Amino acid sequence: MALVNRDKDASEQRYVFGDANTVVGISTIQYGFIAPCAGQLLQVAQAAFGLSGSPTIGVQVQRFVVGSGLTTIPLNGSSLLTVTAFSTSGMQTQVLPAAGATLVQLLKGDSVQLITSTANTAATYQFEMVFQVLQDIKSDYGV
Amino acid sequence: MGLQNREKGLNEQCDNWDVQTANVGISTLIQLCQVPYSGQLLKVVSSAYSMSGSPIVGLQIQRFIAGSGATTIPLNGSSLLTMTAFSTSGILTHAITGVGTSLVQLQSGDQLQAVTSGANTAATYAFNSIIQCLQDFKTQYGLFSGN
Repeated sequence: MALVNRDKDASEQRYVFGDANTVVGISTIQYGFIAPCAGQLLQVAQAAFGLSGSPTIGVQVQRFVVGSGLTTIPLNGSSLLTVTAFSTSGMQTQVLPAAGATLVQLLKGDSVQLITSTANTAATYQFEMVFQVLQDIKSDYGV
Repeated sequence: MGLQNREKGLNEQCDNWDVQTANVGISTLIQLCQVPYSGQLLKVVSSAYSMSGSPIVGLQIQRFIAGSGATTIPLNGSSLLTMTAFSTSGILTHAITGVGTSLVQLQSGDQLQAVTSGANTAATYAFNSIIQCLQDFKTQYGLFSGN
């Protein structure tokens, strides 16, 4: 029988979405990924280069529901990450609610985002987001 | 023996390419994926943020063949997608030629692209492209496992 998601170990059910953004300013939203199916966000790791100032970065989910519109769900609460340069601290990880918590449960079509605040100019961010598929048989946007 | 692509369920044979592009202007070419293996394009979804105007987005493949040069293959025909903001419609699905037809059959080295038209400034786009590997033994740009 063909291999499907439920046959995999939890560590094999995970997918990494990443990207790099240049010249990230204050209060800038960086778009991480669109959840392809039901799952949970496990980890967000990032590295910053060419920093000016001490930016803080939070993680949020934007969810669009037909009839209700858009909802923004902050994941960090007050525990925003103060970014330091890769040359100072290496890769940094965001403080997220624990796996299994409602806040990190994603639905198909959710947009996972990073949002910067406080002083920050001319930085480059590289981020990677780890997403675990929770479906028995994985789908990608319905296919 | 190691697990091979042909032993996977169809959904497990799919890979998801995730691309974000900021400050997209009119008639901009956006690179979505450089295809690593023979496969077929199953779906492309996109979302747009901070829009101005009503941009239209089409999908195309550019295929380079030594001796023949590059060929551009439009995937949407006249069914180009008029973008609306994520806050208005959520994610949008591009209408592409049906699964199994020759247009969506991809080769290693094909470049999958989106091209914008119509009035549009200062938008951010996020694209996700789903490609199913059709090889019994998956390769990446000609590299077989063990290479």
